[in-house]
Amino acid sequence: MADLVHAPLPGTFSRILREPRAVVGGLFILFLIFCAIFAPLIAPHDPLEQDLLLEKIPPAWQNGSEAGHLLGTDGLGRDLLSRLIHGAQVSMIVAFVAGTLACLLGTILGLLAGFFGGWVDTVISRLVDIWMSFPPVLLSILLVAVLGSGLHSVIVAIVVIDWTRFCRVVRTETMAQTKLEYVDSAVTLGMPRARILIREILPNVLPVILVLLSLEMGIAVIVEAILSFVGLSVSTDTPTWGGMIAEGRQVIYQAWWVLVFPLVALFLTVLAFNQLGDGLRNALDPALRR
Amino acid sequence: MRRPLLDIEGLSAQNAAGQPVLRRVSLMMGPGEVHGLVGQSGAGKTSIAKASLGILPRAVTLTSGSIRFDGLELAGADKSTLDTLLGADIALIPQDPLTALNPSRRIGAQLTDALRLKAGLSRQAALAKAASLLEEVHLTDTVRILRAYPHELSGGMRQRVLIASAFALNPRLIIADEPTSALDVTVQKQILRLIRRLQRDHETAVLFVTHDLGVVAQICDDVTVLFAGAVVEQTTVQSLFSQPVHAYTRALIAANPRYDQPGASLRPISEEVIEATLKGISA
Repeated sequence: MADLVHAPLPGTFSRILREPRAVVGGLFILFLIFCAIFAPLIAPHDPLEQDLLLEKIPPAWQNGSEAGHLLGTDGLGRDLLSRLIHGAQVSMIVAFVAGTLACLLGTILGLLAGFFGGWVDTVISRLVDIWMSFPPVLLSILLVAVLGSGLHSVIVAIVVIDWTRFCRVVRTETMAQTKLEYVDSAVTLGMPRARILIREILPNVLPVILVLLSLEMGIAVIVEAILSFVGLSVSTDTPTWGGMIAEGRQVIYQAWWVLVFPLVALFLTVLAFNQLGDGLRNALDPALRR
Repeated sequence: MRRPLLDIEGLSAQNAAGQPVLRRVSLMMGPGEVHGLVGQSGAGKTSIAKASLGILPRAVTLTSGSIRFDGLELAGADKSTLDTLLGADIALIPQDPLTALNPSRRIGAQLTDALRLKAGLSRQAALAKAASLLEEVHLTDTVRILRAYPHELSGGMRQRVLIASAFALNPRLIIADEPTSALDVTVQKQILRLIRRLQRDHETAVLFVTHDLGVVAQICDDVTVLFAGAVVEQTTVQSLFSQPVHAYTRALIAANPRYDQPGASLRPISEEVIEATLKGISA
């Protein structure tokens, strides 16, 4: 029990900076955010510009490459590097918006269930149980099919499915914190319940939430890629990594790079989010720290 | 006897499984008295303390009886009644100084909670008062301590902070729930002396929950011995040790380790005594 109590403290930030995994993962994600924001300035070409004379050009280090197309071109002669850089936009928007909203929804419900217990807990926990018994990928495809494709639908689908991850963990953690004596002390001061929950308990649950949020962003990127792959995400004139993978699949025998580069981008992004999450866990988790 | 400050009468409680936690417990404390509540684990000491503070765990429910504080009924009282009393008139010294302070808030913020919430002091005034409270519990270097987080202080220091916090608003009753159990013996002694002195200075009544008869001998005026949720014996400290009436009390006293007889083996309370006591309770 005593380990539960040492949560976020001063020097948290410097402890995170001493975690190589958190730093490397975090820097890669910062790099992606930079790419996403300044995509039109960084990208060497217009990601939609087709040039059928230069289709399926291999990357620069292969025979038959063309100057100015570092990673080669796809089946329609569009520059792969430019498409990857622009594709980061959708991935980052989905990661941060969907991740944050799922986190907010799950955290609020988890805090309420864990703190108040009783029927509040019963209702929320049963809801989570029912929710988690649906296969997530099918549910997301179904949701987007009903809502119509587009970025908004993708985000709604991810939030609707993934809030349960936060809810379950936050509930358990809140319950553990609520049993600690500092909460009793606050109650015996006549402190209002809402204030106890927000000012006393939430800061001690926050490290867990941050770790989960980082992992969730990785998951959101994958889900968006899956939906793009099956053509249920944004329209095809917006480059997405999932869409690029789908296009690459069709020309895999003639031009492997069209498939491999977006896959690598996706892989590295998810890896970075997971490394950041693991690093944060090491830096913030009291049990490992002591 | 003067009008009692805390008057618990026929208090019964049960857990979620319907097993009795408290059986018709009665207890009376006058203003400024220190009343010990002794018994082994599970005897119901802490349940009585928590019931008086309105913080019983959800699984435990009061089935009958009353808890009156200065004539005011606490058992089943609404939240607003409790909220006005708690912190101001009744305060808690919790059991475990390691978990009783919020790890993510500075000592200063936690120590000023009651002062700001109940006494309506400004932040500055509350901090100044908090500093003087720390001095009263013999913590010097108050500036550093007020800015510190709990993990930066030792267990003994944290318990002193909690004691300072309990006495902050000069309550009439303090409920001390095994305040020394988590501390080592030398610190224990200092903390007991501190509580005793503050209690005398402020004329505060203290309901002192403990499993340690040595602690009772040092600090209490009266004692209630509990077993399996029932009162076994209720008397003054002097007569508890000089002429214990109940067999269970005698066994409890005999079970205490004796420092004057090194090497002597401990004497656990025998099955017969426990069974006889249980029989007496359910009768």
